[in-house]
Amino acid sequence: MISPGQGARDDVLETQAAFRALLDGLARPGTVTHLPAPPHAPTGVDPRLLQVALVLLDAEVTFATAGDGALARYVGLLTGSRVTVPEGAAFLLASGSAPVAEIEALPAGTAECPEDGATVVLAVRRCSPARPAVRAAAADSEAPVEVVLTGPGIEFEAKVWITGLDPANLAVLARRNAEFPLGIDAFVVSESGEVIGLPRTVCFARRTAR
Amino acid sequence: MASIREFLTLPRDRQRRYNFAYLDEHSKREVRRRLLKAVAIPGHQVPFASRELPIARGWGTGGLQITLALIGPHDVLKVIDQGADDSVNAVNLRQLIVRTTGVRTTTDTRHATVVQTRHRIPEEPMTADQVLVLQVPEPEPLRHVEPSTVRARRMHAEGDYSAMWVRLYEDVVRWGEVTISSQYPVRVHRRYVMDPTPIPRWDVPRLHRAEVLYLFGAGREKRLYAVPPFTEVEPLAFDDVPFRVEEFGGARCRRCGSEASFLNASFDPVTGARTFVCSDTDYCTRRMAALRFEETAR
Amino acid sequence: MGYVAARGGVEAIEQAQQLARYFRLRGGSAPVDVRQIQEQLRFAVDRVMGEGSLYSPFHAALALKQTESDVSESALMLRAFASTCPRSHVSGVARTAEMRVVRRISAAFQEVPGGQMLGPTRDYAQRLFEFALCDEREEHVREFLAQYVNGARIETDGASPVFPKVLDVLRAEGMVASPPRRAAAEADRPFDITRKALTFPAPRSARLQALARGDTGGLLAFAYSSMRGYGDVHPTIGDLRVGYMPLRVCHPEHGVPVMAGWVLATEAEVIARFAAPEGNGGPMFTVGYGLCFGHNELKAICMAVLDRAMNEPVATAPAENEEFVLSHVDPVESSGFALHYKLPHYVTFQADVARLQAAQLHAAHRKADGVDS
Repeated sequence: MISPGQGARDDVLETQAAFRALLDGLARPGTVTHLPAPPHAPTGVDPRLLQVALVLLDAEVTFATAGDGALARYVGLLTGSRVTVPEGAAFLLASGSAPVAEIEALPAGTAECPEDGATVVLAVRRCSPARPAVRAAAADSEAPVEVVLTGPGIEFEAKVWITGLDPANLAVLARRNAEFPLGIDAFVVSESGEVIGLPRTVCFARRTAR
Repeated sequence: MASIREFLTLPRDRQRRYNFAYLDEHSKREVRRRLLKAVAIPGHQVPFASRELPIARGWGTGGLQITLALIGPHDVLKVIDQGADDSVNAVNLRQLIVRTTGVRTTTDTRHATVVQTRHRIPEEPMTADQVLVLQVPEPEPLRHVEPSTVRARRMHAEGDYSAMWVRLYEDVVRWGEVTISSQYPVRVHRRYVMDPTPIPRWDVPRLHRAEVLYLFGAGREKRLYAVPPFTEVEPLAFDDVPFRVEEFGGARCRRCGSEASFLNASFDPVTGARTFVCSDTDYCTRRMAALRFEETAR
Repeated sequence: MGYVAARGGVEAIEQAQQLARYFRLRGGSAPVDVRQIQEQLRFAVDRVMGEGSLYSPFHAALALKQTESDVSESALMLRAFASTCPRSHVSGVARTAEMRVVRRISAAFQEVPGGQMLGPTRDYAQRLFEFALCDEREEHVREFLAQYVNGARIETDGASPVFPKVLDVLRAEGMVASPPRRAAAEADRPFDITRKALTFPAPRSARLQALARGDTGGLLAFAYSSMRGYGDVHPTIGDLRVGYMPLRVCHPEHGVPVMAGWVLATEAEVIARFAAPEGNGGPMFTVGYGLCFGHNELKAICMAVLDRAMNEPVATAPAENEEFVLSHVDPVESSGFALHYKLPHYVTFQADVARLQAAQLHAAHRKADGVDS
């Protein structure tokens, strides 16, 4: 029996470890960091999106999903956070495998309060620092996208390969982040808990590996 | 308390009524959310709902909240004040963190994963596996030219730092150079002017394109800010009056002989003679040990 | 080098704490009972609760005992303790009209609806020492209590007395404007300055919360400046009341309000010079409001004066500048920072010395070159 507003597990240390993975990922974009084992999630709710939500969300902030009602309900129940429209959301939780139109509508902060820009969490298949082997018969959505990153946190440039991320999502992020310090910050989280942090300061080019 | 797991498996009433790392999870979440935004916007002061702690405001509660939000059972903690592990303020803070977490501590900068500091950056270059948490008394670099935080915030928003430049120029005209000794204003990622805390000029170059992540916490003023690794951090200076670090007139540390570290003047308690000692006690102690080793090896 | 002795820091702190304990006990007198503080030193307890922003007379009394009645330190202890307490409920709006009034006065009229009730006050006592208090014993206490309580004449028709607000009377007569309609969002959820960082201009609920937690002395200094002429608030106290307010919380399952308890509070409503209000009404009196934990009339009155001062559209005096006032009245922040100067600052001082030496050298060169300094 899960009580509203409480975590599914009494996992103070798990949350701390998860937070460090997010912090290190964001401070060093392109370095793949790792979340601990995810919490139990009911069928239809992405456990990694839930995991990140449990670290960062509570009754003080609002969030949106890309039309994922089950996720919205479960996250709202466990964290006490209020689901709202993207225009008013501090967080957006979504699968990254298809274009997420909602990113266009998220707040990017103001000149005086750039920190009011939202945070996007995109669930993908895999993230890796080296080019992964690709099965010849794999669908296009399984094609790893090579992303080259430069900016604060990166010594010269960093390369990562992300499987299950629609490149349109990177394009819209880049567009929304064109006017620093306004912007939207993002985390890409894989099924096995790999994290890539994409702060608004990062610049990226991408190439589709094939 | 033998281990963290043991601490957490105690029945609630036998625990010390405080959560792991003192802060409740809600408070940690607030600090964590704000830290992520601080890292995403280098040099920008992010307001946060700073909690009261059982240590007075002005005594490091901002840095402490960051450390408490970050720290985990696998971390190794070092706390210094003025470069010294045994300064009373450092001891006090370290005790609070250890009492509520059970984490291991060290005085050796190389072995620490989290270092909390007041007014100095360690002499030992810090690495990608480490985080340096700095205690901030006054986060606003513009406060001497604009006491209103409302107006200062607008200046930051517009990138309008002309009042600051005028102040620096007046210094140069009057005294031949900028007279700011500590809290030297720097420009981060070519955008925000930031107060690096009362570190001496000596430490300012360490901020530029470092391997380590710098996190800054002002508890009383309720602001967090950050400098990610490999970020440009430049002291404000004029082309023809460049930024200089402190000089010690050829003095050496009387304990380890170092000429390459920040030295504190002090007075021999017996003879009253003026001497110099490394401010970074760990650096000094390790140098002394290395020198002794060399001597015995010879 | 005592302050930063290698490996001496821990021992120095422990010894200092033992010495402080010794200073508290060395007289050999009987240890003070927490209950005695709670019952017989109520103004200190109330001040600590107000500045500590936690309604718990027991914890305030214990803090006063532990700190040897250092009010600033005690407030800090309560604040830190409150930080660790989980927040399970938020009360409904507490109506001061429901207050079980212990004391109620108004300076605006000689007689007011409900009447003037002096209550437990020493306002009119002569400030002469009562040396007999040195010999007060438990039997005197018992005797007095028996006599006073038994001799009390209780006249009641069963109903609680009602004290209508003077301001409401003035509103009905068109002399005071109705309170402006708050933005709906603020009405539902007052700003909580312990949960969200304060920015300026502050929402009204944030301003009042900051003042309610403010240092009595700090509020007094700023309010006094306004009364004395740095600004222009010459308040008439419409209502000053001290009493117990009921707090109710919503039952989590049944949704009905449930009594959580009674909180002693002091409320001040002051009337100040008239001005044309926003909108198209004619001139009206302006008002200020103050409310704080416990019995603290000075604080409530000063809060109300400052509330009114900060409503000036253009700040021409420090007390009218909301950012200036609210940034400097928090007792924990202000005392903490003032006292932090005791911490070692020798590295920054060393840096200052280096800069002074450079500047002196520069000045000496200029002089030698015959340039005017």
